[in-house]
This record gives sequence, structure tokens and C-alpha cells, in this order.
Amino acid sequence: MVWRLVSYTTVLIPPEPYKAMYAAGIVENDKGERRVARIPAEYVDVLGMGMRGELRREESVFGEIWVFIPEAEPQQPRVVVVTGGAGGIGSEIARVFAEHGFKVALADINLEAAERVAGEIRSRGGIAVAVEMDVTSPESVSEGFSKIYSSLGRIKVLVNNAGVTIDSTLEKMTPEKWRKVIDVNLTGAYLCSREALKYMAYGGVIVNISSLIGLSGNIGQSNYAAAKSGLAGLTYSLAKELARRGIRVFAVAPGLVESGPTLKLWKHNRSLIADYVARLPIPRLIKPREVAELIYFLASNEAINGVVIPIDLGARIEPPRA
Amino acid sequence: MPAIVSAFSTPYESRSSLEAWELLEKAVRGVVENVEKGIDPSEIDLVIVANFSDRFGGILHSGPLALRYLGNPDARAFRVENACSAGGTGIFLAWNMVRAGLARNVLVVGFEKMSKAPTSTVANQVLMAAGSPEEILVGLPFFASYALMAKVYMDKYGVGEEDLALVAVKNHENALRNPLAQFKRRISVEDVLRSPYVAPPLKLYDCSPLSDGAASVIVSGEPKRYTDTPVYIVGAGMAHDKPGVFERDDMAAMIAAYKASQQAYKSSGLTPKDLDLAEVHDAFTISEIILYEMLGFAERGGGARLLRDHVTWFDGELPVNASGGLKAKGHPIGATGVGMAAELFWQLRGEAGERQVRDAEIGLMENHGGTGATSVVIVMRR
Repeated sequence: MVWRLVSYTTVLIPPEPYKAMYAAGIVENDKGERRVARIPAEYVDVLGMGMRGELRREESVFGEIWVFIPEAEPQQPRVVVVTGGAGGIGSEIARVFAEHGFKVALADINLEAAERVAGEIRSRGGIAVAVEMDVTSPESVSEGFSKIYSSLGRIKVLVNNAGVTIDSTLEKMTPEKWRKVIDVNLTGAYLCSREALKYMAYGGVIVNISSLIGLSGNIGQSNYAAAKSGLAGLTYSLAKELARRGIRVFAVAPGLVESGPTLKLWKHNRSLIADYVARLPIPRLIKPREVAELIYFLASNEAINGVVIPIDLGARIEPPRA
Repeated sequence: MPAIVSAFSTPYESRSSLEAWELLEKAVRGVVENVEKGIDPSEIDLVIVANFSDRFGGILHSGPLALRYLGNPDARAFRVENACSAGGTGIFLAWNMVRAGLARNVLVVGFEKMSKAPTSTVANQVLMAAGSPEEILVGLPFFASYALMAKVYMDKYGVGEEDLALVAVKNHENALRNPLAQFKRRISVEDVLRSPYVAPPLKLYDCSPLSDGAASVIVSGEPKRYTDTPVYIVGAGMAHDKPGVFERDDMAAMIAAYKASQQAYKSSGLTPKDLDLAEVHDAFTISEIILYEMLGFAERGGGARLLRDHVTWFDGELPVNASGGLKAKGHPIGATGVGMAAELFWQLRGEAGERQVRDAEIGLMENHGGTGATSVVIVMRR
């Protein structure tokens, strides 16, 4: 039986208990019978009067309803934005999403380095753009996202990956060191999430890169630990707040990853890293690809929301010392 | 002929400091005090309380409570619930009870304390219960059901969002003159168009607010005993449509309002041309435009033209919602219909202050429930 849409709307402020935004419409068949039906949110942008489709009966804990599936391709943008996209983990996240057919935007304060990663992805047949972005500056963030939207369209996934460390024990922790780390790691994630929301499609995902340090703390990293722990709070809050817009928010908390900051430390104090690694149940460093693949996997799973997932070779059961 | 002999209303507010029962008390005592020649509580033999949901006010069984505030334990009392038309239904009932000789003087009081709901999404869930079961399960709050009607109407008659905006602009402007109104802020068409969508094509400023308030009137069979200038209920009607928008033959109409107004015109011997003003149920801007057509002010599809031509503005030929309407005066559900009757009482007696409509002699009120599944129309004359 073919049904036609004779009126429709999007419920942007869903009442309790439905919470997440959806569309609804009135459909009519050739006999003039009408039904009121839910329409999955991914069709919001493609609905039109008279649109044909099929009607299904669906059950939920709240009751049984009609669901109208239009004969149209649902709008599913496959665009990921990775902040700090030029770095070790960031670039790997971009590569993994690109391999899965995502268009990639690499936002980084170092445009040249971001361009190199974008070029590399393009050379393998992917679509990638590099955008200069200082995540601590509202203007720069706003400008960057506007550029990303105009070149790639609506955003599906934002990965708040940009981060810095400026380690110092409390006595030597100047307000500048404190603020810089909080600004980039935590405030940057808030600014980028706020801006991305304007361009995010229904079904969007925000991923925050927290850290094992944010969960366990570390000597000499109080600023970094506070910021990364703050990302957990940001994750929990936004997961609740944005659910009604169909946006999921989660974080991953990696242990020591084979990337920029670790490799720097490796050069300066190899025994510190060796000592840390030796105490891990699986004694090695985490590969950026392992983090990137976890993020892709979690972003693809629609039941994942409001959690901080550690990826740490078992470090949480054997906490590190400095 | 039954007439209204006294009226009272609290201001409509977004968050009243009064509890629901305190609003009720104020409205019961206020309307008794306002009787010019005085009335003894024992002369009021029936109290009808209009209230939508205990999930807003936190009380049920408000009839006997109203009697306590009235001070007449020997009267009878009950609560009516007919979604947003609870108040109009109460007046309709009072009119009939008096006409039938079953009551001498009926006190009709409506109240709602919507700010009791913890969030607007909970308030919308409570309100949504007035839809059809199918709409409730699909998750269509009022604004979404009205959006579905608006979409059909706008498509059929080529009406735009800027036409809908005119209702909001007009009613906000009217509310500036009403000390009882919740919103006292002039808005422009651009303000309305810039407000965020809640369910396209409806935006935030197309919607009436959540309100707290109470209103009351006394309908009497011996009006001259209580005032020299009663306002007579000269005609009334009540009619229904199918509960769900999707079930209706014409989804761009509100047939219940059409039928109720036909009954009211017939029983009063009056026509739309005789009216000096109207208070209508503009819960959403689209509703006022459709009502113009249902009530016989405009032909089908011609509602928006009355706005563009300023016919229904304060200085127009037929001012509609001079009080600010539900849109700007506010919409404390149970109080709304009773408040419309109180407004007509003041207007037709020339007591409406700054918002007084010139030479107002005959007025109409339309109060409906849900998306128009129940409509009450009452015509009054001084």
C-alpha cells in the first residue's frame, strides 16, 4: 500500500518522554484513509508534500505507533571535523574516518601541517580540507566552522582532539601555564562544540578526547588532569542536553599513546616512559590507530552516549606513577 | 435571560507566587466582592470550577474547596475539564442551568498554575494528553498538531509565515494596554520571523505561553437584582470535531467552531455583522486566522486578509483579542474561557480602560479545546 504525505512537521522541542527530536506527518492512501505517523529524523531535510512512502507499525516501551518511511534517501552527511587534526592522534582519526568514506576537515593552529595531512588523504582518493583554527579563540572557531560548512556541508562528527601539555608541579605552576592548558584542552572543546552545533545534522556525534590522566591524575600534570577531567563533565552534561536534538556525546580516555608529546618525553627521559610501561598489564604504548579505530567504532554505535571509555592497556587497574 | 453580573481576574503571569488554591481563592472571593449591589454567598447555589490538570496545580476535587472560599457549604460544586475549553464549557453549562431553572446564580471560576510543571517539555506532555490517542503515542504536542494544520492551511490558501506573524504582532500590541496581560512587549514581524522554530512552520512567537492565573464570573437568572448594567448571554453554542487532526475531513478548518458559532448566532438572532468585538482562542497564530473564517468574519482562505487590511486590529472595524488574546494576555488553561467572558463583561460595560473598544455593545467569545475538537461560542450583549 502506497501512502502519501499530506502534512508534516518536525518536533524540535519534543515533549516528555520522547526527548529526541523527530518528524511527524499525516499520510493518506488511495482510499482516502489517513494515519498520523512518526517519521525518522534523518528524513527531516528531504520531506515534501505529496511524498510517497511506506507505513510500518512499530513498538516501543511507550506504545505502538505508525512510522512512515519516505521513498527518499535519508540525509546522512558523512563529514567529520577533527581539531588538532595535524597531530599524531588527530591525523590518525582523520585517516580512519576517511577510509570509511567520510569527508574530513582538519582544524589545526598549524595550517601547514594540517594541509600536509589533508594532501595525504586526498592523494589516497579521500576528500579532506585543512582549516586554520585556534580553538581558544571564539572568532577563529566561528570562522573555521563556517569555512568547513561551506566546503563540506553539514557536520556528522566533531572530534575535540586539540590539546597541549605544559607540565609543572604546583609550586611552579604559573597562572599562564594553568590557563593555557585549560584553554586549549577544555575551553576549546566547549567553543568547538557550541559552534559545531549550528552546523550539525540530526544524528550528530561529539567526541571528546579525555585522558587516563584526567581519570587518575598525575604528578606534575594538575592543569592537564583538571582539563581532561573537565572534559568528562562536559561529556556527561552535553550528552543529556543534546539528546533531544539527536546528538550523542562521549569521550575516550587513552593512556600513553605513541604520538607527539610521548615521543618528546621519550627523547628527554626514556626511563620514565619505560618505568610507566613496565607497570602496565600489557607493557607497551598505545598506537594512534587503536585510538582512532575505537572512536570510529563508538561513533558508529548509536547506543553509545554519555560515557568516558578508557583505552589504556589495563593502566586503570595498575595506576601509573609519574 | 441569564446574564453576567460580576467578573474578576488575577493578572496572568508566567510564574505566580500564588499556589493554585490561592489563585482559586482570590478569584472566588474577588468576583463576589465585585457584585455592585452585593450578593450573599447563600444566593449562589452552584459553583463550576474549570481546570485542566492536577499535574499543573496539584489539586483535584476543587469544587468543595471553592465552596469553602465562597462561604456557602450548601451550594453544589464540581469541576469541568474540557481541555483548553474548560472555562467556556463552564459558562455554557452555567447558562443552561440558569435557563433550565436548575440554578439561580452560578459562580464560574477557572484556574491553572502551569508553572508547577518542572520544565516546558513536561508541561507539553501534560497538554499533549488532550490530543487523540494516536497523536499522543506518536508524540505530537499541541504546537506540532497545530503545525500540521498550519502546513495544510498555508499550502491550500497560499498564506505565508509573515501572515501568521501579524496575529502575534497585533495581539502583543493589544496586550500593552491590558494591565492583566502576561506580556507587555511590542514585537515586530521580523521578531516573530526570527524566533526559533518549535515545529515548522510554527515558531516560538507563534505560540501562546505557559501561564498562571484565575478568572471568574457570576451568571445570574435575576441580573438586575445585582447590577443595573448586566451583560446578557444572548446566544451560545457548543460543538465538537474528531479529536485527531488527521481524522478530519478538512484539516485546514475548525468545524467545531463553525458549528458552535452557527448555534450561537441562531440562538441570539445575531450575525457576524452585528459584532463590535471578539475574543477568540489564538493558542497559536494559525488558529486565529482559521477562526476568522469559521466564525463568519471572512470567507474560506480569506482570514489573513483581515489582518493585512487591519480589520481585526484595535482600531479596525472588528477588533479581535483587544485583551492581547491567549498569545499575549496569556493562557492559564482552565482560566482562559472564563477570562474571555470577564473581558467581554468589562468591554460591553465600557470598563476596559485603555483597551476599551469604541461603542462596544455586542461581543463574541470562542474558546476551544485541543486542536479544536471542542468549541464553545458565546455571544453577549449589554
